[in-house]
Amino acid sequence: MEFIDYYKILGIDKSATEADIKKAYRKMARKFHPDVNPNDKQAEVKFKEVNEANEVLSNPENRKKYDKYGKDWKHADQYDQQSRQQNYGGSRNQQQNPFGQSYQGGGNEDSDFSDFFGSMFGGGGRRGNQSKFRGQDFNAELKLNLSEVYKTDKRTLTVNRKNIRLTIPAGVTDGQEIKIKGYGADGVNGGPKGDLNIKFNITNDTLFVRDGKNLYKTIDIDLYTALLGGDITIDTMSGQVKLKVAPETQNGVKVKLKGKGFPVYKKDDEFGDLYLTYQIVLPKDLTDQEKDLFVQLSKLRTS
Amino acid sequence: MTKENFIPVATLCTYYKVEMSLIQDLDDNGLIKIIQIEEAPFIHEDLISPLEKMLRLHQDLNINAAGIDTIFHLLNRFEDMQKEMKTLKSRLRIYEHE
Repeated sequence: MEFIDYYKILGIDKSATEADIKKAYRKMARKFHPDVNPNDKQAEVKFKEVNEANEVLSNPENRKKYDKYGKDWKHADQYDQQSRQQNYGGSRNQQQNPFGQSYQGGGNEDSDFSDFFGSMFGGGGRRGNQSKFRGQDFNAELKLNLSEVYKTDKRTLTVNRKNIRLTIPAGVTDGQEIKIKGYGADGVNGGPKGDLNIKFNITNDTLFVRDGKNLYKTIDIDLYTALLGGDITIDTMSGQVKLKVAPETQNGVKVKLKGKGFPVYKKDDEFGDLYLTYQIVLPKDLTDQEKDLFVQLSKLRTS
Repeated sequence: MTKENFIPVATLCTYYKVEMSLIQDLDDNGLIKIIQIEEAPFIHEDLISPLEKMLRLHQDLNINAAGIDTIFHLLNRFEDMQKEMKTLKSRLRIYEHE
């Protein structure tokens, strides 16, 4: 547990007035509010810090306590005991907790607050003035491999002890979200249920690069196949395919295999294309005979 | 029209501790849609989630309906751009592999 400099978080100094604190808090809250920073976990953390700082510094009693013990919060009980001894003539074995009545047991119950806040000011706080009515949304992340979303798949997920049968349509994309209405928390006082939002986190476990419905791959072909033409066998998502390489194929040439790409989301039997880029691999470690033959070939070209 | 899936605005005002005038203001700015059932204002339950977001912006940041409208507009643009950036990044990978 580390000391947290609430003044630094709000960008103010210790002599700040109540108005300064309010102004600084408002400015920071506008900047880091989670609703204006979607999908930004850092902003969310920062917003919690800013709120915590405001919770302490905007309350004169909390601020006084923080200013008094602040950095030395770990030794605060010693200070407190000392002052008690001075004031009351050495009464020992009194409460060990330096902050007496404000301590509400651990402070870790409310994850909106840091451990530091918890140990100084107790768990709760006066934040969260908005009453709940609609049930909370549940957000879940489903990790899948790219090869798994090539075909429509049925899965049973367990969310909060409820089993949900989910059909994952072929072709879902990384980061795509689906909303399952009414599978969130129950509403309060007759409010509607929240939703379950499932975000797909897709890891590419294939050798293809995916761009929407199309797939891309670089294929190595040897010099002789490129020059003279020939047959090659390549792997696609739907199995092996034999291809004819045309004679005198140049390096970097692209070939399109229609319908061998990725399935299109929620469109039955519709597929994207597979784009292959030929990369010609030149032979290495030539023998003397090969070198002679290449010399002959080069002379034929230059003469 | 039946009341099913519609929540009385009065109920929302009670639970979210907001004035009716704010809800009306949000409706005037086209951010939510209030409908009248038996001469009482109602909101469809699908709008509760965005309404909660609007109320958070109002209560946490002191933003009025016009400001919320502007923020929502900018957030939509921002989210579109984030999606576009993701698409461009995945397209870039094609060239990085060549």
